[in-house]
Amino acid sequence: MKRKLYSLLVSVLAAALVFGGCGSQGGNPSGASDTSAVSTAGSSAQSKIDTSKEAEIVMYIIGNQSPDFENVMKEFNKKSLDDLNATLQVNYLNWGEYKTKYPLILSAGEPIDLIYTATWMNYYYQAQKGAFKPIEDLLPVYCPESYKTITEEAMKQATVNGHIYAVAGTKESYNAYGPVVRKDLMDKYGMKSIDTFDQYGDFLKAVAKNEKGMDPTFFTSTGSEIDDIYMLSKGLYPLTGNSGSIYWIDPKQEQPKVFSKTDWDGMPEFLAKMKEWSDAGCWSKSALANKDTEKMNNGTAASRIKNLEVWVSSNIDTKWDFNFYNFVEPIEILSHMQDAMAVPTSSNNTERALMLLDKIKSDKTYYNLLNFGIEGVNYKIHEDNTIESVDSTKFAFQNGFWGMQMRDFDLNKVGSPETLPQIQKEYHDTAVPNKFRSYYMDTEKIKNEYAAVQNVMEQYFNPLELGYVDPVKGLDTTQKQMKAAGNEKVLAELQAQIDKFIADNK
Amino acid sequence: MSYSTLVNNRIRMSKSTIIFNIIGYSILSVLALLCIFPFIMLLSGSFTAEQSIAQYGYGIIPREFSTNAYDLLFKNPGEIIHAYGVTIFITAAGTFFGLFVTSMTAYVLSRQDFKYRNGFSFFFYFTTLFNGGTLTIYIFFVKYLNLKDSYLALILPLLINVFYLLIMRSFMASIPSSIIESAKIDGAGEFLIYVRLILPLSKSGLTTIGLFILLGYWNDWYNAMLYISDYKMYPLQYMLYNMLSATEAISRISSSSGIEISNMPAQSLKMAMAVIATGPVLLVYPFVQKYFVKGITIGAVKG
Amino acid sequence: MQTSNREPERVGIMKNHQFLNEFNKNKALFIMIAPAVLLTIILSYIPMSGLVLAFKNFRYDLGVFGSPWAGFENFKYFFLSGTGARVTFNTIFYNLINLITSQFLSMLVAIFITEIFGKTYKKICQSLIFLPYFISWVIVGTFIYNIFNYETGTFNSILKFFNMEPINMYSIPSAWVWIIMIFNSWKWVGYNSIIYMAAITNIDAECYEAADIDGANIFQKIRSITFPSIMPTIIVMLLLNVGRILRGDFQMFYQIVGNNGQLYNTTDVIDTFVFRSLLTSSDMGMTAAVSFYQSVLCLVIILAVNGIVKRVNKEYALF
Repeated sequence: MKRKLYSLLVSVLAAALVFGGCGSQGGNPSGASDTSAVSTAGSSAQSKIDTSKEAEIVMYIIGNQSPDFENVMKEFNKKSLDDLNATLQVNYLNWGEYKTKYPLILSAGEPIDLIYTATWMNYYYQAQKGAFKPIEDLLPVYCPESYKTITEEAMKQATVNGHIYAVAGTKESYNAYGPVVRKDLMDKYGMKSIDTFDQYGDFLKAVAKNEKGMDPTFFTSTGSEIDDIYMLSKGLYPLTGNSGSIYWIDPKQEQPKVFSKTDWDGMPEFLAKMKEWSDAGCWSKSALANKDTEKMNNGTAASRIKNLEVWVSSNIDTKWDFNFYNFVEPIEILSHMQDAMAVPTSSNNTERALMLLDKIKSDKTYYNLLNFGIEGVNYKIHEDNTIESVDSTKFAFQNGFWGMQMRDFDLNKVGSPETLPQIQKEYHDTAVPNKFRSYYMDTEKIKNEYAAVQNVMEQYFNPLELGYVDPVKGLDTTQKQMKAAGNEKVLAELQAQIDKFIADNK
Repeated sequence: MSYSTLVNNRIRMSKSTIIFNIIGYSILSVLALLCIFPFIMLLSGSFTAEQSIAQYGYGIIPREFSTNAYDLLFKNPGEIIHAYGVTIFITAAGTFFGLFVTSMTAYVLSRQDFKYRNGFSFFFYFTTLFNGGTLTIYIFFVKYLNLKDSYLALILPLLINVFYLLIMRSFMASIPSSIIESAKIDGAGEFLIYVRLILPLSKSGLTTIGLFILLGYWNDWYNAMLYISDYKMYPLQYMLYNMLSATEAISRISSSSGIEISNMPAQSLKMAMAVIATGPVLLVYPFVQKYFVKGITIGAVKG
Repeated sequence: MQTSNREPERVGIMKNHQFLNEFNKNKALFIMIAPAVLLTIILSYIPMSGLVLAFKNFRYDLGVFGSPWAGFENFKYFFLSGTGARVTFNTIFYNLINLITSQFLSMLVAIFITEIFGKTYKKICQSLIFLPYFISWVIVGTFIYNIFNYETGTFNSILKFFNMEPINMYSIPSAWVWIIMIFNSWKWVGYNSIIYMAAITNIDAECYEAADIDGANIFQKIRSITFPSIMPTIIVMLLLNVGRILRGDFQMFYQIVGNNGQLYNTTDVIDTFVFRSLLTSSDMGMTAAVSFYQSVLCLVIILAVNGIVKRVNKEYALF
């Protein structure tokens, strides 16, 4: 009920904007305007949609194409031609090129109907810059089935300036974060569990002392995530919604005050601890120059701070068993915009594209084809409801289709930790909503200062939090540099945004 | 080095010559060692098991021999061979036309009696200072020149390198203008002078610039990344680059993908890639070399 | 293009036929230069219109030319908190020392290789020195980490072997100036020396023979024959490199230093700085703005340097 009201509100708002001439459509014939009359009429409208003309839907996703993919697509297109009189053309943006090419193909104006988007692909920025079509009016009409599955929270998270530009799947990732630790080493040093920060420190020190040629934990040049986990464990919320955020709030406050990591009260204490750990050899003295992200999986590191997914993949991929300890409370579902699909402005087949998307997300046969391939040929499902790949070099699972992952259709992979389904269920049941997850940082007005501040953090804070420099003096330098870079202006702008956000979401 | 060479070259063994050779030999030997050492590490790294690299780093001899990286690269040998074919075609065509246009233009610019040579030089040089940026060039190539998935998109951008053009010009400037004048008096046309007279006189310059153009085409993956999406048209370097970035990216985002990453030989793969991509050029190199490495006393310019 | 009221520079052709000769001669030369000019117009000058991006607030739906103007807004961030000045200085500094060391070494190598005895030896040497060109910066970066990392690096292993205290290179930013300089020379020496070798090969053998007869020793010959003869090449190489003095070799810096903030003060150049700061926002206008800034500064510098060279010797100038 609530969702319907919300969508109605949004669509009315959108229609007002479009007719008021403020819409970003700019005379595109197949935009929101030509369907605004249909409004939220629901699935009954779909039967009236004219699909007599065959349409080719062009989709861009990220990844490298599997060798068997063409065969699978033949199968897929046979079905979609029957059902929707449409075929799907999937173009992969390879891993080596996606960063460069993604903005290029969006700007070059070639017709693309569906494209992967995500927070880490700058969804909010691109949506603001007019890369995508608003689809709030189209979703109930052309995506009736999957529309039902979208939570109110997910809707809010996709909203940019009152419009919805992308639609996510129902897959849930959780904010659980903490050490992933080699089990055999824990046993060796008599550790039953790692529940506190200091226990983790004890583990690191034990490894540092006794295991030659092994890093107790490791980082890459992007800096450690220990500070994130430390602040998350104190119940603070990062404004980017992810680790690595510079600006934080305390969501428990009535009117949360935005502060930068470097100004946080607990920072001196944390840095002193890090200095102590660093001097005890808990990580390499050249940790920031390290480029090897696989240290734990190839046996040269004993632990790392990460999430549930890394824990699972490490267990599947290596010969060791790992334990995972979550330090974050309460459990929340991460923004759905971590993975989503959008319709670029250049699309010529918006309606059919959305219908096809709906089909993929609501029809398991479509879903499995794209994500797992052809049953028997590419995958097998075991009795315990786990899925196994026949030959992952021929067809890789969920290769690039993360933007439409559905919780109910997904299966755990063979070799996953036994406790995984239980943990997933527990997280799902206990997860609490956090309204701030639909807030997104808009750095447009402060882009200069924000870029400068980021640079300062990389230069001064990353070595500081690893205890490479004196914690007191180092923090002082960092704060001064932050100030010079325009920290105060950024803080003021973000504070204004948060205040407005709270007022809007009363 | 040997006595006979000395006699042949009619060089007197003076004290300074000996000192010069001692210095020369020691500097070159040290430098050559510094250069070959990392290459051996690279070669050995490409044959080392991934685990061993992670544990002990690189060495001169593989600690734990493994052909994993090459197995992965040659999983589809047909693909690699095809990519070699594409690269060889692009390189051959590009080098031929590139060298032709570069040398012809350089010749015109080197003519001291060509009034606008400085103006034209600046016209070319200006493009190395200012360019429209990747976005505009991409849109122009794809939308207006329609060069997406076309080999021309791989050849055109590297056809004229202004740096090579100006270096070539400086080589040609050393050709005495009296030669050109006398040819003209004999009634030869400009184009004929260029083909019959200038090109043979510029052999070393042509070889050098030709080699650079060739290497430029051979190593280019960037244009393929921008304009080629049909994997059957991938040149070698881009295919290798892609494989590598895939293995790296896959391990980086393993959490969100379902791809199994066990034993991806990312490190040794890097090395094996370099070996595969470098090999053929190294084989061709000695043949090219003779044009610019020769003792000046053996006889320099052949008319 | 040809106007009759301009005095031709050259002399020696009979005055009556001056105009006709000039025209005929130019026609052929113009036709020969035409393909390159056309290609340059199509491939470089037309897309150059994209320079306006530097002054635009880019929007996907409006395109490069339709996007609203932003004035100098895109340039602002670069100069905030003095970072722009620092990275500009670093870029020029590295380009200058790399220019001097790498070109000098290349020249030295070229002279040695052409002048020493032993045909086989010098061919082998020359081939080996060329090898680093093929080792990409990605791999060089991995090697450097393997050499200098504190715990297991080769460098510290050697120090430990001689009972010396290990050194943490990654906490000594000034050391990286040397490391970068050495590796840059190492990588390019073979490539650049080919240019000088080709220039030396072009020298007329008769000059040397005449010098031999005069009893000149090898050092004298190098000083009075080799150097003057390859001077045009040296000047062209210097000018060409001065012309990109504000462009850092992104791959080199990025692969050697990466995002290691500890070393930024001495190793951050414009290209790495821009890459990093725009990684999160990927703002095309801002990228274009910095590129524009580099271009304008390069233009000013090259015009100045070329002007000086032109005064000294007209034939050495680039344009």
